[in-house]
Amino acid sequence: MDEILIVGNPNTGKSTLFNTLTGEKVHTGNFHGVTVSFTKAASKYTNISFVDLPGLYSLSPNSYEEKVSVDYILSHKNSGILCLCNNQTLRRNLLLANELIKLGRKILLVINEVDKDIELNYEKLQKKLGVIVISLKANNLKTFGSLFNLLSELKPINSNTNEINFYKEKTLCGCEYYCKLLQCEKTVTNENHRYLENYIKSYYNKIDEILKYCEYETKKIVGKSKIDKIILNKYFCLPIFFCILFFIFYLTFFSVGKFLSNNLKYFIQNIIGEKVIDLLYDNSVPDFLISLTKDGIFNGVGSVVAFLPQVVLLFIFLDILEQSGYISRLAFCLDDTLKNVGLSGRSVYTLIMGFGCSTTASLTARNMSDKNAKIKTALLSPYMSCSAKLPVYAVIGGAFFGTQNILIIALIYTLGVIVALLMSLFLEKTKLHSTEQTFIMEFPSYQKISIKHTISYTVESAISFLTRIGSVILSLSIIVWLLMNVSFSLTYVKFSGQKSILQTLGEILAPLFSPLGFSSWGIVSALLAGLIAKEVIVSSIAIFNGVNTSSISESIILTSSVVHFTPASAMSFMIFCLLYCPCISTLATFKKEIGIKWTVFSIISQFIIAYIISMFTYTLFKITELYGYFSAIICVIIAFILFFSLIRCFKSKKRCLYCNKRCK
Amino acid sequence: MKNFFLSDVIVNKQFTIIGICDDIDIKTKTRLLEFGFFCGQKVVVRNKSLKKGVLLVELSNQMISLRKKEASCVVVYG
Repeated sequence: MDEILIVGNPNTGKSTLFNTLTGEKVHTGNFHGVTVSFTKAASKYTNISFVDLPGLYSLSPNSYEEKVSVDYILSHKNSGILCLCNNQTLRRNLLLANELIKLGRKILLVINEVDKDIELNYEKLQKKLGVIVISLKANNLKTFGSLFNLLSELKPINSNTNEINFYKEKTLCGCEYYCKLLQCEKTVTNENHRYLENYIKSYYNKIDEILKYCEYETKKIVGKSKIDKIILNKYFCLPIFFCILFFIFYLTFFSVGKFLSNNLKYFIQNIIGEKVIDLLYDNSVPDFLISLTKDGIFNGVGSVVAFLPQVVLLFIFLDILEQSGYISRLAFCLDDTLKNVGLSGRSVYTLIMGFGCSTTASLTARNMSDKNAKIKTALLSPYMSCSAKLPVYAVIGGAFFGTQNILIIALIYTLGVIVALLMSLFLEKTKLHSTEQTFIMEFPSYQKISIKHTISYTVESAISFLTRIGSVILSLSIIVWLLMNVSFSLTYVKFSGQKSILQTLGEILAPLFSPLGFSSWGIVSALLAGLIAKEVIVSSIAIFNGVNTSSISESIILTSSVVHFTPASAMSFMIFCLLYCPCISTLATFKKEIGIKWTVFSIISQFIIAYIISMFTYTLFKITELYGYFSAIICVIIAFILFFSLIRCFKSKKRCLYCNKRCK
Repeated sequence: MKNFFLSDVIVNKQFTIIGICDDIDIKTKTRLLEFGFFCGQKVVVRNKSLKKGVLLVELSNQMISLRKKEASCVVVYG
């Protein structure tokens, strides 16, 4: 089977083309650097396998994801190349196309007709470049025409036949020189600088000549829009961003989200649950099996499934943000702030994705150009409150704070972002000082939201959520039910009257968490179960309290329940859930991406931070109860003074420009 | 007609690039050149961020954002 590599500049539609060719559902978005690793799949329509590679501007990589592409292209010498160009940015795209042509490999140049008003004579372009050029729309299979035939008959080209290849050195061709120059940075002289400048300038001049000959004409400025006068306005940009976030959370947690979630709870509890339990009673099924089905499966798993509408809504909004092109604007607005904590505007994408899933977000840290910045960005992703933590806030916050819960949730999400930024500052000043990164980034045009894309992305996210529930959450709920109902002597606790395994373990660990207000063994056990997947926290609470999906909130207020809270401990618990150790799948990604040392650091540091902040919150609530608001405000001021004094200690010594260490 | 650094020019006025300073690291210089920041190109600064640390420029039919430090290596006249 032939292999074709899909190569091109970032944001030209490579992943969209790959999805259309193979039927896969690789993540796509209107932002530079969405694809960070290669994906290989066979085509549905021909005997060819395609490889989707991260975007790159030239064969000289500048970040980790670009390196993945260059390494793959250079190590798979027998594979054909489908070089995808966007007709809006053809001039810049042809720079990479030419470097690929120079490799002398099997290559086909494909122009993605994003803007149908742009004119171009493809025959003339083909003649000038010496390779076959075709046009298509990456998301429309009907426009592909003879693409598959051309790909199956690709032959290596003679790189000297194209007119663009005019710049030749006696011993080294321009492209090789260019690559070598970048790999041996230390030997770069002024002469090298001149050479590089002349080399790229000559290419562009030649590309301009070719495009003029091919009657290429574009008047539109990519990324320019009248709405940016408001969105990028220095005074309005941040308020607009916060309004968007508030709107998303309002619709997700309240109004639409809450309405749909309540209906689903009713459906699970009253329509399915009761009928199944009645059926089991009618068939004289043993008591412990009925208890397992009722408490372990319907109450446990059902309590998480009920939040499906809210998770789906959150993913819809994330997809809209990603597709629209707003994230690039946000990166522009926030780069100033993020630069101060050792990150760059590019980190915005990872942080926003963290609201969906920490595992996928930590992978996107690959688009950072510096190793330390990559580690830092990945480490920050779990501080963004992921969708799995959403049921915790809805259930516990809803029980104690009622309609004010939206403010509490907004506060929790903001706290996550603030802690992430402070953590980044701490790492920047200590172990992970990153060299100043480049922030040269193209602005994509605003794009109409494709309903088809949003539906596809949302359905995929919903399936992934349900699959996770059907596998991890279901099995964990059964394990939690078993541990809660079986004692160490392996007897059913309802008959033996002994303490269950979970109760025994929970009671041992409970004193450790009492400064946080979690005196009940049930809360500690739920947190332990949440180490594997955060969704299990709510399902465990439902199992421990023996209540159905619609009664969890009521049950946690009652002191007679196994898991019960006061407003102070509820707030402390939500903050602890936000900040404590990432789930197993995120840790596995961390180990692969940033190594075991930083994975262990993440577990320990997050636990300590969660513990301190939760304890502070609980104490603050208690002080407010006992001595009033004034005393609490004084405590907050003292805490801030102590914290910023600590930060100043790190700031006092600047790093040396030459050795990157603190000078004495 | 005077020479300026791109980071210092006023917004919405067209300038012509003269070149890029040599005291910039080669990778940043390459990226700037790849985006078309070379002698003779017309450039317009369209926007600046709140603390003026990031610029949004219009260059060869494309909007590009870059940091002030990077823009301060691009010499323009106009």
